[in-house]
Amino acid sequence: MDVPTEKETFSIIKSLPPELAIMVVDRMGPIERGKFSQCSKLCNDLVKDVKKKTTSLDFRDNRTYATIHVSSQNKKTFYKYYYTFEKVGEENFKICWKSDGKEDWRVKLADDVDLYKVGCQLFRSLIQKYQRSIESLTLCITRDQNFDFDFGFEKLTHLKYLTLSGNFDVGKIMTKLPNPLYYLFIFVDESISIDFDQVFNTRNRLRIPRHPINNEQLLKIRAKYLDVSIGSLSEENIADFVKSYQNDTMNHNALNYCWLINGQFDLRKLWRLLGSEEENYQKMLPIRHLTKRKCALLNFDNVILTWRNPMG
Amino acid sequence: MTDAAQERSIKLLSSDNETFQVPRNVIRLSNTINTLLQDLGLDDEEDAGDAIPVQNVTSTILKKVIAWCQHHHEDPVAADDSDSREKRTDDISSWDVEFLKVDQGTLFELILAANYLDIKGLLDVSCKTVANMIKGKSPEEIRRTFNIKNDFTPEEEEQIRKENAWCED
Repeated sequence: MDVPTEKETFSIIKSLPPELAIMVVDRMGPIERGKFSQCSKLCNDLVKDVKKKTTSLDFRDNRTYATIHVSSQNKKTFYKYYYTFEKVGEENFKICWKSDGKEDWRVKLADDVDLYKVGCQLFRSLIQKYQRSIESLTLCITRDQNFDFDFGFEKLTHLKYLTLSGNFDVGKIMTKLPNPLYYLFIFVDESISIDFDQVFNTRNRLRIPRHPINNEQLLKIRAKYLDVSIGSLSEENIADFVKSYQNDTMNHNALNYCWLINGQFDLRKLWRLLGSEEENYQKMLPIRHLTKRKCALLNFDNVILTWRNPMG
Repeated sequence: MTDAAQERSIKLLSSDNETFQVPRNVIRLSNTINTLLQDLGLDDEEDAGDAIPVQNVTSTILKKVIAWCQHHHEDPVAADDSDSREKRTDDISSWDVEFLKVDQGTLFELILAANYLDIKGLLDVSCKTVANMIKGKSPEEIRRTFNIKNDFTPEEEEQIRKENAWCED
């Protein structure tokens, strides 16, 4: 909505007291904030202030979420469940399960309750409810939590896409999956260790590419990853990898493999590199894009969900 | 609330000395006025006496604020879970959209008034309206919309553009 200005020199952003300007920025979506921060030093500072307010603690220390995409029979509808732990006041927590507006469960708990156990129970009940319809699953957990991984992965007979962020025992999950995956995305963090052997040794749990990679190629891929420390995995590294892998297989559609993605990597660029098939993936699966400050939750279908840290 | 209570009203005096008679059940949306009446022990009084000065708000803006409260005074009270609520900007009612089709100066005054009078709903919807003004715009278009001067050095601009490359189309 364009609102005409009365005076050429008047600027609502510059004129508002900082606390109210922050309130305005707080109501912008992550993309708008990104663009707004490029306008001027003041705008950039305001966005930083909002981020400070909303992400004063690393969200991974206090928030966990899971997104489940459940396809209906005609495969046109997707339900998304957002699962969060939120601290309320000093002593209470609540767990929220939110779908796309159709359901909303909230459980408020005292702090001595094993939150994650309850969360896992809720999650397991959802998995059981939709087990044969779940095609895509995104899980993010706190790195230090001993999450109960026994979600019933073995029942996810239609799971094609799995995105993990956090302290998952990837190998263990892979061995539990009943069918090969199309894609596995793992968001890595410098402080999270991943047992590469375990991941790559379970490659038969991933969908076999049209031109299956042989052991030599697999070793090459491993070497690619191991050449760079996880923390410094950069856009260029992955772009190089994509290029070399495409050359190796002569068929980029065979890129149904495991991606280890650094939090600051430009996922959109990756999709473009991967080609058209992945465009469908973009439309279907919201990707949590970990920006430097880890505060944005993006959906490539232009639905933007603002990430807000309740501890902020 | 009884009919009598609904009919009770108070007088508000704008910064430019215009007096407005406002039903109490309408102005209850202002926490500032509510608290004031309670603190002064006038909450249950039939006649709140002299006009309450609203020093920071002009008559033009106060008139709009009262109109907003008049329209929304029967809205259900929102749950106080603002911390966990998703900050959506697409949930502005069509009435509010029309109501807030004003120039930036008026919008600015409305935000200040809503903040001063502590009218959460009006403050929220006014801030959302400003936030919505940048939707779909490039940084340059946002600068033009808000009369913002680009004060980055070319190096700083390049750096910040890189940091925000993820939000480019």
